[in-house]
This record gives sequence, structure tokens and C-alpha cells, in this order.
Amino acid sequence: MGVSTATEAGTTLVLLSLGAALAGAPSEAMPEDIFDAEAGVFHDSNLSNAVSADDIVADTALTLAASGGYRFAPGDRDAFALTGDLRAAGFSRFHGMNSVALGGTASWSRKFGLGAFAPWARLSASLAGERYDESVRDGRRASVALRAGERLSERLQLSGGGSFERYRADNATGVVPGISGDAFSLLGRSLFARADYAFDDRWAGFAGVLARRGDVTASTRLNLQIFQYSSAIALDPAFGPDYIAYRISGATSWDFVAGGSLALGDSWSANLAVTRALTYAANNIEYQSTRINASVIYSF
Amino acid sequence: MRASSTASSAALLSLALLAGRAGAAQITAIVIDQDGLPLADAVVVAVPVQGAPTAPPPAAREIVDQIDEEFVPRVKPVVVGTPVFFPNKDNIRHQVYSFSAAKRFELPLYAGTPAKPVVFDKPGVVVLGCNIHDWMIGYVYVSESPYFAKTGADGKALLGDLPALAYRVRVWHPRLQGQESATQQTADLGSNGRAELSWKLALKHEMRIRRAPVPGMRGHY
Repeated sequence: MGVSTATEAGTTLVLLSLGAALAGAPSEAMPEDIFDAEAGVFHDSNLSNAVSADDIVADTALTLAASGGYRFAPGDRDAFALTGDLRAAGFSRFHGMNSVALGGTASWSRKFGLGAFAPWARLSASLAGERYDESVRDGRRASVALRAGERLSERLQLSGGGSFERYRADNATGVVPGISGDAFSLLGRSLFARADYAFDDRWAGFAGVLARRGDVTASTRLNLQIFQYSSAIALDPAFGPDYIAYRISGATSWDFVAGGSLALGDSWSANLAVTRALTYAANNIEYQSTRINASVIYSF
Repeated sequence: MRASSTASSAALLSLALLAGRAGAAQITAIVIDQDGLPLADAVVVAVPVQGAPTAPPPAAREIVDQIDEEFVPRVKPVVVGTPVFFPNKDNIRHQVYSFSAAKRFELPLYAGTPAKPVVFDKPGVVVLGCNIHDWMIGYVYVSESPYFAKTGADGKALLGDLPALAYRVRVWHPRLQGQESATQQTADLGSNGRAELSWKLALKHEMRIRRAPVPGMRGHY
């Protein structure tokens, strides 16, 4: 955990320093404005990550994400981007999960050759502070991701990579003496692969898989069994006064995602994605959820 | 003396008539697609049946702009030997390239107008791309003959000021299905100096790289 944190911090520092240096030389780098925005509706069939059917809560949220900044191209094959990122979600039932996240991303991209079919790679580092209506979940998220891909034809592009993610909760409060209350602080690492396919000029589809190993936070009503396999336990009022959140370490999650995208012009698209998420951990802990995300994306 | 003067006048008049006729001949081309709709951006090329075309000097400056991250015009016909500038009118940089056999080149990342043009010195179709914006695609059609024109939105093109000769006339379009040579027709302008030719082209679907955003794949590349 310590090594990963140092890696994230170091990579972020290097990327941010490079960005600052480039921002200081605008005449050479000629920054390009970049802006993306996404508004949508999100549904999670198991928002609480509950193992027991009795504890499962589903909810739907309106979501908004925006990202804007500058992209620099110091050379023919390299690009560096710095963006400020905003994300917000407002749930219809469990308002304690309403959240706003504000942060930034630095990314460096390289194209290994000339043309649309040259392979590419992108290293990105993100930092964000997250605030929830129930402040017990407040915290800071840091992630580092390396993604590489190649377009095999005008229709098909394959990509994949890996990432580290750390979430450090700000307000860890223990409820059981002798057991950590830091149930929302997580560390995970993921490998992912994805295929994007354009059916025609307007319709595109995508499918991907993500395998994650690390900590997860699940919520349940009072359940004595969780003391046997949880490393941290905290109250979780977002789902009700009788809910408890607990952290499970060493969990393996599989996310299978498939979706479609309809181009609404050069800069707009309407999108639908369905994710089936399966999580397994020791002691026969297992939970599942289906997430549906319908959104409109604008990209400048 | 008087007879000699009359003969000279007649010869001059004949030459003038010939010269006038040489510049007056024209071919009107009409190009439609398989659905009968007018086809824009088709290049119509006329090559004299006998002898090489007497090419005028290539235009000193042809231009293919980059506007709103697209090539404008998307199809640019030029005669072989023409220098073409690629001004970037966006406020971002572009990197124009081509892998085509008729002209391989790469303009390093630039803003504004590159100091030197690209000279298209071999006939053929040159497909243009931008290494930063993969969806950008354009075409420079390099003609071996100086006699060519591009159809407008009405599917019509006028090849004017042609010498009154017999021509082989063919059509090319970025979505043309099959060989360009298969479109060849002949037109003899020696009789009345005018010809009207029409083509109904079978087109293939052009699959362009998507420009619109896709979830989870933001940014370039």
C-alpha cells in the first residue's frame, strides 16, 4: 500500500510539474482548449454493495461531469493535457449518497507512429476531493492509469491497460472499540480491456471487461458476521440509521460493460451503457449489481 | 501585292478562328449516384485521345485549408506538378500527412501556413490525414491532364476552354466502387465543340473514423 501511494504521488507530481513547465511556455506549446461534459441518468441495482438480499438498495441518480483544460503538444508524437474535473450525482432516494467531486487530471499521450492506425499509449494521474451529503464518505481519490490501444480499422479499436486507485476517507470514526472505523478508505488495482466498434457513421458499440483486486466497501444492517472478515467498520447513515459499512480487503471484482453510442453531430453523442459487476471475497462473500448509465456527452 | 495581302488576311483569319475554336470547346459532365441523386466532389478528367495534353504551367498556388478540424475542400483536383499549401485556420495545431503512393509526405505539427508547399509530382489519388485528429480525411486528385473539373452540389462540372480534340473522359470519386478506368467515355469536340456526358456511379460506403465522443474514451488517440 505504501509503495503504491508513493508511486501515485510521484507520477502525479511528475505529470503536474511537466504540465506547469509547459503552461509556462505557451508560445512554444500552443495550448489547445479541451472541454468535455456529460449529463445523464445512472441506476445501480445494488448501491449498497450488499451481500444479503435484505440489505440491497437500488437507486437512480442524475449525474453531471465536466472536464476542461488545456492540451499541449510538445512534439509530433506526444501530447500532454491538464484538466480540471467536476463530477456530481444526485440520488432520488438515498440523498446521503449525493456527491460532488472536484479535482484535476494530468495525462501524457504518445502515438507510436504516424496515422490513424498507429498504436498509442496514455498515462494519466487524477486527484479529486469528494464530498457527500453524508460526510462519513467524504475523502480524496487518487488514481494512476496506463492505457494503450490501437485502431485496427476505421471501425474497430482495441485498448487496455491497468490502474491503481486509492480513496482516503477524511472522517473515519470507529463504532467498535478495537476495530478501525476507516471503512471507506480503499486501495485497488485493476486491469481492463475494451473494444470499440463503429457500426456506421452514427452508431458505435463498445464492450469491455475490468478485473479489480483490492478493498471494497459493503453495507449491511447490523450483522455480527462482518466482524469476522472485515478490517474496518463504520456507521453508514446514507442508507439508513441501522446500516453499517465494512471494508473487505482482497476482494476481486469483475465488471463487464457493454454499450452503444449514437453520434448527434461532430461533438455530441447519446449513450447507453450497462455494467454487470460481480465481486468475490474470502469467506464466501459475494455480491452483484447491475449499473445502467444513459448520458449525453459533449466534447469540444 | 493585293492578292498577297488578301491571302495573308485569310490566313490570319483562319488562325484566329482556329485559336478561338481551340478555346471554345467544352464538356458538360453530369454525375449522379446509383439512386439518381446528384453527386458532388466527383473529379471529371479529359485526356486527349491523340498525343499528350499540352499542359499549361501548374497553378502557382493551390490551397487545402484546415477549418474546424476538417480538410476544406475535401476533394481538391490539381494537375501534376502543382504546389499545394495546407493553411491551418484552426486555433490548434495539425499534422498533415499522406501514405499514398502518388505522394508520401508529412508536415510536422504546425499552426498557420507552412512556409513550403507540397508539390504533387505524380498523378494519382493522394489521401490526406491529420495525425492529431484521426477523423480528418481529404483527397488531392493529381491529374496527368490539365483538363479537369469537380462536380458541384448539382452533380455538374464544366470543362471549358478545351482544344477541339477528341478526348477520353473519366470520373473519380472518393466513394467510387470499382476502377476509375471503367468510367471512361469518349467525346469528340472536333465537330461542334461541345459534348455532354453523364455518369451514374455505383458508390461504396465510406467508413470514416468517428469524431463524436464515446463514453470512457475521451481525449485524442
